[in-house]
Amino acid sequence: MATDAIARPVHGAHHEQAGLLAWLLTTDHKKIGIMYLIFTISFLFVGGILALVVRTQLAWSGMDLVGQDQYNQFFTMHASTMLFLFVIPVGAGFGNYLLPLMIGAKDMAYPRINALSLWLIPLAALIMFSSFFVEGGSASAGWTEYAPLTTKTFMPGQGTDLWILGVQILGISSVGGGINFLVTVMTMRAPGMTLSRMPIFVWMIVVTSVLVVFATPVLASVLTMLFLDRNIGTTFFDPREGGNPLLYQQLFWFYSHPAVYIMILPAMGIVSEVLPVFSRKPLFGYKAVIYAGAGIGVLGFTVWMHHMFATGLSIPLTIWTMLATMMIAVPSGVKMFNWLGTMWGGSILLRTPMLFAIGFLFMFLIGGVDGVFNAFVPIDYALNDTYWVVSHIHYVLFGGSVFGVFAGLYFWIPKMTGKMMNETLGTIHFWLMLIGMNLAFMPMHILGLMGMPRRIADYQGGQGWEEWNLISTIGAFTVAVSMLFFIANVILTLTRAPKDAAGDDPWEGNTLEWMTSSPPPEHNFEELPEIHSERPNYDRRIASRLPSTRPMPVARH
Amino acid sequence: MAMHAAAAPHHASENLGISRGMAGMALFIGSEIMLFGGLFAAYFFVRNQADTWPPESIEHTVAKDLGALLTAILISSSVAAHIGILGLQKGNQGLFKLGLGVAIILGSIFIGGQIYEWFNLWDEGLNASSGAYGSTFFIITGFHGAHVIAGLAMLIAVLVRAFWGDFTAHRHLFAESSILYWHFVDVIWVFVFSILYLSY
Repeated sequence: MATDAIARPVHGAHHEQAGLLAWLLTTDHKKIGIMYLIFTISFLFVGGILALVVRTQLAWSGMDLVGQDQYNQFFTMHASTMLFLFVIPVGAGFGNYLLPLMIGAKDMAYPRINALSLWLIPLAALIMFSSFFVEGGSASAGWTEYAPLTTKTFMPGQGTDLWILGVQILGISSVGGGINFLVTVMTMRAPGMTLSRMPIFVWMIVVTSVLVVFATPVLASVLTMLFLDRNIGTTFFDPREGGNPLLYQQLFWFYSHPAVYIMILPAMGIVSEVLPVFSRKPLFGYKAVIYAGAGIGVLGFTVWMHHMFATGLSIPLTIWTMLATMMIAVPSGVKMFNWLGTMWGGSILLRTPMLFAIGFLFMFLIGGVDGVFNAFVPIDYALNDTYWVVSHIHYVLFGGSVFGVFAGLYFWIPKMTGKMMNETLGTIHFWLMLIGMNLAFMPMHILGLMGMPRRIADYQGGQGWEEWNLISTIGAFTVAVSMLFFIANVILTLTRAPKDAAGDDPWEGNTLEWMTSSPPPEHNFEELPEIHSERPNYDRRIASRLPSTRPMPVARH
Repeated sequence: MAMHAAAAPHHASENLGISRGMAGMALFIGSEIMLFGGLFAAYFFVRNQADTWPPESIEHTVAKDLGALLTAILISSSVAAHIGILGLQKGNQGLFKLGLGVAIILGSIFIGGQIYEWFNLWDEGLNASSGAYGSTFFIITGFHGAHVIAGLAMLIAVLVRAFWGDFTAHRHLFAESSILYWHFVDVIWVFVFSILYLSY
């Protein structure tokens, strides 16, 4: 192991335990971050398998793979797994590993709460997946679980209650992490690390954490109401007793819309770190990217009703929501231009992390434009609850978040392990995933425009839907195959790759994490580097005039 | 394990001049405000759509005088805790323990009163199944009561540590953040009382 066996003074007998126990009991942000990533990527695969069942059932009309009830469980748990057990916590996983390193801290502000946040995730997963085995099966009303469909009258089984419990536990994990990140940034930055010198990834985690801390509790309130309606006879959502189903939707989406920014901002942060390194050029418009991220966060709190256009909202509310939703495209566009501006005139290196980062730009662009189109209310009346929406969400979440996640994994696994990954396998993974993803989700634009509804287990033949569904299913399986190349790469890297091949700085990066060993020592930095800009490693490289094999354009600011 | 935050000063002047403990507590309180925000939003939503409030079907509504008494008790409890922390800041450990003790006793009386009120209402036929009125009343007072109990647990922990001599005039982060939480719980009650009891 690269860690030293230096005796640690005083602060509470922190001797390193060996093996598995060290990992189970650790409060070290790096180990916790790695475990977050192991758990969340595993859940990506579980959610993916659930998706394959869904796609197989829909591959042609009249498929009889699963019954209707079971199908509802599969798509519900596919989405719930992907959103709550993968895409939201994976951002926290990257944040955990990187944030203290990137700001020159030795750990997070609350290491023990950090460990709690981690271990709540497998606990919640256990609870949620156990629901497949109770009477009635798992939750099955979609990941949105609208009342009154989810009241005891229509969903008497315990699956819904287990789902609620699991999501509540994940909410606690999430908020704990969010508070941790914010306090760490507020109080633990190294000398010279002013707020305007923090890496963009750290800034995106800051904005994400604000959303997490202030939006998640509202979800907790509404899921508690649902649980009480189901179990002790309250009537929050029953109009016969003074309640209202729209109350559920309002409170649910007040969280769940900011949640989608929680899902994308960390990936945007990752891309903002990867693109400059592999363009050999600083990020274009550092401050603009930060303000744009903050703008997305703020605006994101105001548009939740665009999920409810079809419910009869008042005209003023509808118009504001539509305009604000379209406005979110502006800061998103600012980021797009800044990312493109970063690459423009740069010396592009198409290593695997860069492939995924560039893939992100194109795929997220498609998904984002889908969203702006959908924001227009008359269009939404036609497209809501059709496969158009499914296409949009997968382009932004898969093309966006998942591509960002893989860019981050290929970029930082060398830092975490000291080993370099196989570029050939990574390249194959990328192209198969890109092709598969587009095969899977591009046809859904057409299906949506043809009027195919969401959340149906089967459909009538002869409407022109089968062909597109079949292509989509082929795409889904292509994506699955691409994942095998990733898994093979990870196994090969961990078992066969030469140790310490990465060194401190395999990519000639800009930020602090590249100025310590791979993997870093327990307290992150043997000696904290001097920090005078937002790219301390670049500064040191120039100052010491280390030879570089790649041309280094002069920075413009 | 001693509080790390109380040890050597933090890294650099770049950092915001707030301690880790208070920053965390402030953010946690922020999240709790949003939790109650969701609950109150539900209350306003169902109340706004009702023909009358309380609805026609409700025979027995909540008692304003009992609510007022509970409010006085909880506010006094916060005042006592505040006097205590002021005393501690001046080095008066005795006043600190006294203030804390009074706060805990008054907080416990508040919980007792809340439970008494609930039993009373249940006897009169008002419970969680009493439509939107009952649902919102019991979820809000229930969540609030749970937070009072959590706050009491924290105050008791502070008092125990005070007797252990853990706090000095300059070093008492755990006490200060716990008492901040207690004040938050009190402020929430003021909203509960004003909206649920007084506003009709």
